[in-house]
Amino acid sequence: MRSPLAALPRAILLLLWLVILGHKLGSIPPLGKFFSPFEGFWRNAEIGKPGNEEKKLPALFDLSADPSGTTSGMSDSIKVEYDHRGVPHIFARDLSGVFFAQGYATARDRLWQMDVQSRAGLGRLSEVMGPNLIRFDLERRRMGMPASAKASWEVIRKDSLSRIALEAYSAGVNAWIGALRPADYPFEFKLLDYAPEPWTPLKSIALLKNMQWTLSKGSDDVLLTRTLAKLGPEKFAELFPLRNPGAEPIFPADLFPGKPRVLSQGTVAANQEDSPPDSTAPLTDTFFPRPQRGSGSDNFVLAGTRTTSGYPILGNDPHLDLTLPSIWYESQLQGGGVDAYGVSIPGLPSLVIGFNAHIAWGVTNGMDDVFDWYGISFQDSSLGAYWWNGAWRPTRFVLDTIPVRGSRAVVDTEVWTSLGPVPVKNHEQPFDKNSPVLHALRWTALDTSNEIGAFLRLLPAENYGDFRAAIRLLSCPSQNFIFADSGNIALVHQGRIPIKRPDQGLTVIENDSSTASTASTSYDWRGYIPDSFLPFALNPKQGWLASANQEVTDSTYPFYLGSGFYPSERAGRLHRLLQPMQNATLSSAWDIMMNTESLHAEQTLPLLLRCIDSVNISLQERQALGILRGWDYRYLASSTAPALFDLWWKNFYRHTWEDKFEGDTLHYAWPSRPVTRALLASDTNSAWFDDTRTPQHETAGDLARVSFQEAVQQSLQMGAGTFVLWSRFHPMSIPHLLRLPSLGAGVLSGDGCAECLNAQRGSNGPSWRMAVEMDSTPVALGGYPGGQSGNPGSPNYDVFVADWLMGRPYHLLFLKRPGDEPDSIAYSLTLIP
Amino acid sequence: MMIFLLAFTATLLGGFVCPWWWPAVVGVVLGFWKAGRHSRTFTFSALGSGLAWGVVATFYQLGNHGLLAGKVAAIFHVPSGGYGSLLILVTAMLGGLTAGFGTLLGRGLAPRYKL
Repeated sequence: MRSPLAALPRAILLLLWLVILGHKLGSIPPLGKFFSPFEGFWRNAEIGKPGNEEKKLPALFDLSADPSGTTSGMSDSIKVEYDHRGVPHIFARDLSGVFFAQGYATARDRLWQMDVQSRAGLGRLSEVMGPNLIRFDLERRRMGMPASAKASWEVIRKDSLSRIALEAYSAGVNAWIGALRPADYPFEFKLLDYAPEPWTPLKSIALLKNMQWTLSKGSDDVLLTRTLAKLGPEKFAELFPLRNPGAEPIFPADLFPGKPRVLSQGTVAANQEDSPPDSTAPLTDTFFPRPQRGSGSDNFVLAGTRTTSGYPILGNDPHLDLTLPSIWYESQLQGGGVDAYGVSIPGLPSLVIGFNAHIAWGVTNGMDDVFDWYGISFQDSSLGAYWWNGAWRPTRFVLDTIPVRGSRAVVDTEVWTSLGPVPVKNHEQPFDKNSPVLHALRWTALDTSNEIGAFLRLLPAENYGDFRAAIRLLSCPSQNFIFADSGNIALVHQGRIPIKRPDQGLTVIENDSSTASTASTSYDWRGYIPDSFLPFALNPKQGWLASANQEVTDSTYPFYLGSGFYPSERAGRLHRLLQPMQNATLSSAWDIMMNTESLHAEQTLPLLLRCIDSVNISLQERQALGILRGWDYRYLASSTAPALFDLWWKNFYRHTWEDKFEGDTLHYAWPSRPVTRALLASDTNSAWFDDTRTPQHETAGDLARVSFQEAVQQSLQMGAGTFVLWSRFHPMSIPHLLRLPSLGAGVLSGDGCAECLNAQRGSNGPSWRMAVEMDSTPVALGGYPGGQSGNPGSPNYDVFVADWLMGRPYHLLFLKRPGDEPDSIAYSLTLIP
Repeated sequence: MMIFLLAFTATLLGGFVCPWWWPAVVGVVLGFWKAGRHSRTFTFSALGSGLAWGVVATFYQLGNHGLLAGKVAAIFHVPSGGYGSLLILVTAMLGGLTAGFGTLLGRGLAPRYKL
């Protein structure tokens, strides 16, 4: 009889095998679990199409507590009808049911996205993805995002509408999660080897924080401070002037007549505590060139006088970094007095952009400067006390623990002052080139506010008054809200915008110990611009309104809104298209959003061309000139002119400024495109064009000629002997959130450029396009680059991408009742409480 | 032959309710019960189990028209040509080896086994 111990080596072998196959190794998922056809990724390979289903749900919270509930006789069961594009049309008796179903349906399609993006917002990625993400999480927490989310929830829950919506939405998500077995987990959970956790309202708020982070964070304060120091105030003011040369503001003087004429210090500031700002300070309102970020957008509206139908038409395309799954999720929500269609952010109840039977609305990013750095004097290196308002104040230390998968938890000490957090402590590495060491952050995203309440109140809004009342709750990020109903159009610049001295916040506000006044509330924000002074326009004579992240107002507006506005190239194109427009249709609105004519090219190319002497140039250069001269400024995928122009301009820009800033864009801000163009237009002999590294005196013409020659060579090289096509020079892609190439949408070929209305470029662009005609029943077109399903194993994962790329819109199905248009419905889901 | 069929069926049926390492259990049981000549039990239980995994994977592969397998293959830098058959092979191998190691242990525990 053998001893069973003889089998020990085999037992160890098997155990070893199972352990290896059952655990994540670095970034390799547990192979046994992952490849099991019963439990692993194979289960996410979608087969066939879903059929009608009924689901009995666990007991919901008390529906009778919902004030919106009506006794219409409709049963408590919730009907969700999915159309052929996978858009859920939700029909419920009351608001709780609506948001419950929205949570359920969104989780069904996008659970992992919701999980990972809420974790990102709360600085909880390393908890499931390991030590590589510690720095990411640390930045979020040091910048105050999770703390602000928690504080905001305490405020938000006092609004019963918001509380009901968030709790119902959570319950819906959790009803979905509760029924999941590991085999049913979304693909990425299996790839990363972690499980979904229960959803909470705090996680929803984290998504709102993400929106604020993307759209209102960051400025070039740090870089501009260095640039100012390098150039001195006079030259700085010249190169970083009052506003963008050629700016075409959203609200020129004649559109917003209601603004105050005089900044009377006593009347305007909401909470003014100590000495008023020095009124003799120069108005150094300046402009910040902003690197291309994913926060540009267009919106516009045409009054009935300019449309064929006689009803207003509204268009909106928010530009964001494009990802799969898409940031947007389409749905229709009906119940409890609400009946609306639009796009939501997965994880947040309500819709962000959309329409109902009465109104339509959309947004572009406001770009006001609500983000400032303040130098702080600490008493010593322990950071225990800081100088503020004439005394040493105790620092508030917050101990924060970051659990880290596969490693010891990180215990971090956050430093908080009365202004805000100090994200980077002494002897620490800055998080990026714009995060200064030992500076406090003053940012409206860290104030407590209830933006969700604004989006919730838009859903049942029936007119302009309801619309204004709803958006009043939106503090951060500031937005240009566009509005239309069947007889009115409007545009409102909405947000909580600090009242600042004109030179406040454009650079880092340093604590100069020789003038203790800077370390006091006299340099703090002096309240916020009252609602009544926020620019808006309603039914203007011109019959149209538009915004594209450009300057909000002209110089007659008495408040300083910051200088982070985009150049007016897209806005200018919008204005030129809308001004003459008559007999517009939905198609016309869609064409506007697909427009690829760059105003930047139109204004700049002639200035460059006139510098070229077409006699003493090579054959290739002559060919290039011919192409450029015949160009209509359209950025088409198969065109060769766009790359030639882009290269020419980029070279010219670089040659102009590189010697002044040591070729360094990491430490210095460089002058903007409009400033450079204005110089080229007005003064080609300007000293700015002289390369200080050479003994000769260069002019703009010299730089233009050299840049042109280089551009021709670069284009030929990239095109392997012929001039490179635009799609090849600047291709497009839509990556997966994890940046795994095969999960993205690959390399795409499409028209468009960053300065065009059709801003498709790189992996940035119109994340949603929508055009709505406000007939008695609104008619709408829309589309986004992705798919309703977040499952890479589903054909609905990226099914919209091709149509979006080509600009082919979908008709958005706005149902009046469940059961309407049965041919448009693929299947339905009934949720029975 | 019996071993092969038993391994295949047990893995297939049990897989729907049991965790991913079910083939190991199948292997241990088969190895213990059917301890015979060395290579046969191991080979046939591994093949049977592996085939069960491979068949189920193929079912998904075909129904999904290779959509997901192609993406997964690329993540692992595995060529995905030919209906992602390579990925199915990997799947089958993993299931088969799991059963195989289980079989080894099972035979090792069997009192009848003589070295």
